[in-house]
Amino acid sequence: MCGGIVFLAVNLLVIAAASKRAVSASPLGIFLEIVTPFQALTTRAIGALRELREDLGGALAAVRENRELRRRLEELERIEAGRREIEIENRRLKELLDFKATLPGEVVAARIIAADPAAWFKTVILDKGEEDGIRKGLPAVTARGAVGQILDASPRRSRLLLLIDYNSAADALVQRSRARGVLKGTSGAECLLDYLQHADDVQVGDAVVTSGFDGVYPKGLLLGTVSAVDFQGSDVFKEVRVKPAADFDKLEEVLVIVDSRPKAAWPPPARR
Amino acid sequence: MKTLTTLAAGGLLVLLQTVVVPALGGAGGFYDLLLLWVIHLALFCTLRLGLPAVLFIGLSLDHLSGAPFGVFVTVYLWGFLGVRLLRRVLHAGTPEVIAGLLLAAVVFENLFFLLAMELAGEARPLAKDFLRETGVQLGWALLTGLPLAALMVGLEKGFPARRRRRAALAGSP
Repeated sequence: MCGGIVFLAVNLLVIAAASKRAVSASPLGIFLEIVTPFQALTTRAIGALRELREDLGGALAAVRENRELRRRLEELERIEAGRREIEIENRRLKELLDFKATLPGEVVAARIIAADPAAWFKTVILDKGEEDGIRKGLPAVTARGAVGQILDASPRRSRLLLLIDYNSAADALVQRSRARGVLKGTSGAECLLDYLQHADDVQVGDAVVTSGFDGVYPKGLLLGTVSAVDFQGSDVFKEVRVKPAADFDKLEEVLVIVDSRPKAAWPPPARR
Repeated sequence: MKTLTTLAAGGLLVLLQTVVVPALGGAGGFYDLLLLWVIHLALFCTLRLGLPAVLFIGLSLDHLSGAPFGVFVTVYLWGFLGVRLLRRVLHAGTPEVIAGLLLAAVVFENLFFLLAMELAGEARPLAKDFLRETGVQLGWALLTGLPLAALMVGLEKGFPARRRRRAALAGSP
């Protein structure tokens, strides 16, 4: 008990004496001067590490976010491409529909599903056949003009012989001068208008239309425009090249004229 | 299994030729992809597998095309038998020879089309159109023939690196 009181008293004395001393004179100050730079350095290092961790975390999050944004961008681009495709198809079909309204008879719209495997023959396969009223010999058109005639048909598919095929021919008129000839395919980009005589008036840029005499194409359908006229004195016929109106490389849908007779007026006139 | 794979490959090439190639840039200009397939059948398959496959695909194409009926099946059949005969006298399993055979087949097919049009009494192409079209097809065959032939040989016999590895494995104790 007595020892405890003495220890307490001594302790109080030491604290009282220490509190009256200047800090600079203390050996503890020197100790602090030596140690604190290391502490400061360590603190800065920890801070830097913390910042680095935050930066890394941020960078990783940014990478993840970037990846996600890219994915969304790709998805949006895909959707946009699809939308654009639908828009183009819509425009094309609307054009075809408007044209359909101008045709006198009954038509069937068909989509092209395949091309001819041989480069020499210009035929395409349509997704409609006999069940839709398509049969051999019927003409097919687009908004830009005539494109060919049906070569053969199965119940649900048919084959269309394009105007540009070697075996294709259509009775034609030069629209301006009414000169008559036969438009033949060359399996190339252009057709030949045959049997135009010396006296026949034909010039580059003239429109060539169907005459209706061949019993296949209705009269007045645009076939193309004259792109070159070659004529030598000794020739019997002029060599006339025609650029087809339809773009055969970009053909996707056609209208097959299944009945070229004018539609009956509807509703029918009331009986008296 | 091999019969099915062979027919599936043929069917795939038909689709490529009638749908994909025209969609990429017009039907004209590119050579008949099935010719390569016929060469493959003639070189690497038995007569029992190759002949019916060639007949089947040839008749299918004859139905799909506006060409005189029988043209494709005849070209493929003669091509198939011709390459099989050549195989006896020529080491025909290398990509270089296959590429050469493809060029010959392209010329043969185009000449045969011309002959068929003549026999059928149909209109013939102009000489310059014929030369241009055949020339473009030969150009494509030159450009793509060797890599496709190398791929064909690689798939059939294994690619050189794999062959070397296999040989090394076989040689090791």
